[in-house]
Amino acid sequence: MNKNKRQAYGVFENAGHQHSAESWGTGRAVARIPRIAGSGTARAGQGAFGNMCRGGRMFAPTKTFRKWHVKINQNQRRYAVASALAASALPSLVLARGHRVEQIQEVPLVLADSAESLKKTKEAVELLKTVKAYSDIVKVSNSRKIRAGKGKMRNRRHRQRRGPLVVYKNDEGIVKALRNIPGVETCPVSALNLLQLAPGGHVGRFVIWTEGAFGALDEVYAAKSGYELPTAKISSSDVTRLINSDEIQSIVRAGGAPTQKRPFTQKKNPLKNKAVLFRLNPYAKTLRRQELLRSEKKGSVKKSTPGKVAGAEFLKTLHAA
Amino acid sequence: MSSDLTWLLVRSNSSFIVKKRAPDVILSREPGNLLNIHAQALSPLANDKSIGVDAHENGVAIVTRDATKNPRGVAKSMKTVNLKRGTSARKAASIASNAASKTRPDLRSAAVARATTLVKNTKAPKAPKANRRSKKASA
Repeated sequence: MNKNKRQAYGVFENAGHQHSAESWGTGRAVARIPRIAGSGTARAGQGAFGNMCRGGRMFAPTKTFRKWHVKINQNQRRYAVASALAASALPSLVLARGHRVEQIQEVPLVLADSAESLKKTKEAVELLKTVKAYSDIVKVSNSRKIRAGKGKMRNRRHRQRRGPLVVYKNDEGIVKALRNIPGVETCPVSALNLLQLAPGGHVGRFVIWTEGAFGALDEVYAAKSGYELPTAKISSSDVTRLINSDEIQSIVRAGGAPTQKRPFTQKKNPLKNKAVLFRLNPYAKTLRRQELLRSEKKGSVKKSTPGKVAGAEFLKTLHAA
Repeated sequence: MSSDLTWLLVRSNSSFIVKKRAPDVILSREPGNLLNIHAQALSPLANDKSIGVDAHENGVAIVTRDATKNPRGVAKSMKTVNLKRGTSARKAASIASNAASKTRPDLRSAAVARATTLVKNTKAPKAPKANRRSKKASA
């Protein structure tokens, strides 16, 4: 983005270098940093120049010939401007950005072309009051504070909210009429600026159009050669309404009876509870049955008739040993 | 644009968000948010229809908004019913209830609760009855 409006700054070119310091070389049991020559003052013999030295220059001194902007591809920039314009036409987003537009009738707010030929600020204020856009300017006026930090001395002394952006087609005095109203910015429709349409990266700027400017939007975009406006993937983004529409609802199957899930009953262990096991694995029932049959069969083979009980004589001799 | 998409945009970035008690609850300063909680169902920004109950210096106002016909309307899509100062809480509750059932039936109980509370709290306190005994005691 073009941020060249800022005043360039950087440290003094010679800062930290205005000494005739030279290194003492090796062999003096001190670091080889350049040292201040001479004697008689405490400064003599101290290190100089280096960014780690007291009174030395900073690391990588800032230059005024810096890259103050960030390049953005033209197509992306145009996409962003178109999106920001679209957002400025949605009351929710304009309100969410913090503009005081509760009293205005509609967004986007379009004024008659006669507004372009306003000469006096007083008339312009009167106009803004009649369309109920003045409360946004009152908000701006109340928000004016002195900026913290160095920006104060770099043409950014005050910070304040942004008011409405007035987009015109032909300047017949409107720019000068609005120039002294706090927070109000003006912009020709042929040169819409993303920094003004979405300040701080937040879309939903309160944009006031003149009728001519609003009408000229089509030709402004037609004039951008080879550029097509971004379009939505679906013409109606209200998916809920699409789903509930007769066209869809007449085709889809009717929903089944609602099944009740019982998540909070005690979980049964299928390894122990046969009923649960068979529900999970119907084949387990067959397995179990076969197993029972098999064991029954085996049992029948092994079943032997009890043998004769040992005789009393035999036991007597056995225990006697 | 669909209100779902609006909510996605407004949820993370809105001038009305109050995160003083986050992450427990994110509050909202939106006019017309009945519980002042930052939530999709309650946010008038993220819904085509909304009902708000707000106090002003002359009493309580019930604002209904319907942007289904004209999604670009701001003041155009709003209707305000100003309740006079003497309106009883019961009367205010019934007006709020009727207004809510026409716009946002799901928020009816919240609207009634807010209307009742606001009316009760904007009422001037009754002057205490003079106590006969106190007069006697002071004499």
